[in-house]
Amino acid sequence: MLKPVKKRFDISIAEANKSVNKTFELDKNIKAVKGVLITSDKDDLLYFRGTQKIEINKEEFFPENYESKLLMSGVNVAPKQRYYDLGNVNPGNGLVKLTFTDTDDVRTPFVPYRVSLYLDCEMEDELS
Amino acid sequence: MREQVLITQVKITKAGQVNHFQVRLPKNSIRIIGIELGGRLIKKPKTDGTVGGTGNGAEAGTGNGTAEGTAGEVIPREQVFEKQMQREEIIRSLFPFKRIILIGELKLQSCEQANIFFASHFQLDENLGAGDYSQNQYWKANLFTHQIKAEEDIVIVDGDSTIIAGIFKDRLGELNKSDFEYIVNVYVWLEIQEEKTKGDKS
Repeated sequence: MLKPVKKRFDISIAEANKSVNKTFELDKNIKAVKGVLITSDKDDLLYFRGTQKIEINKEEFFPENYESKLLMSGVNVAPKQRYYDLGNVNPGNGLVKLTFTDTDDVRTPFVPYRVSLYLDCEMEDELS
Repeated sequence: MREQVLITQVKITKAGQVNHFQVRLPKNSIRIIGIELGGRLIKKPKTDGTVGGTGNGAEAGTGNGTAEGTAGEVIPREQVFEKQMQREEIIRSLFPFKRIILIGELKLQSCEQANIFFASHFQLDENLGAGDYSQNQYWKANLFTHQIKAEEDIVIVDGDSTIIAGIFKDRLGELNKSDFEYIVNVYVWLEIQEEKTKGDKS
């Protein structure tokens, strides 16, 4: 039986105008990735300054320069609808690669911030 | 079949600038299924130009809002807009709605079809907090707190064309008579023929 789980992966952005690469590994019993969401501890910085590339199983889903604001959801969106729908992505080797780039925007001066990548997954129940 | 997005960056540096650009479609594209817009403000102008001058208002001013040796008198931004700001404050207090900020206009055309297939305003919603009574002096509705889920504008255009022609016209600088520097990202979502099946992405 497949059950829904949410996975969270964090990266820290310590310097302005830099890219941060990180590869995360999903659990072996995750069978599908259904959605993606990006948030931060400083939403304004992520909204105005962030762009990212996301690969799952070496397949590019969002290319470089894809703005973070397009993967964020505000409080006006119902919690159950906040994830960007990817369909049913086969996680394959389970590797999720996030390349996040911070770029200057005059509306938000830089301070260090955290970027959280949430994945809406379907996991195989070990008990069944 | 799977989806792919192409990102084209258009840089605007001058008021009223019209930027022509092209989006190259990959050979395996089947159709264009959506258009999305985003952007980043690089630099706000230091002055809003001249009043009563004959030259280019946006370029006549210097860093502190004064100009030298121009034909007309140059008035600092603060003085020019002081009265206007007072009027705006009064109007804002009377009406709960703010004017939406128009940044620019985008048009796209496929080389295989007549007429433009997509035309849109690129704008900022200033009324996100309308009717939200949870706001107070410490917490206000912002784009990054109240934005709805970003979704592309759906279009269905054949992917036979190798190139999409685009025009972006700046209106922000034109309306404010000043040079805003910003980047507009044009996202073209495509349906493409997959070469080999890797996953189950729909």
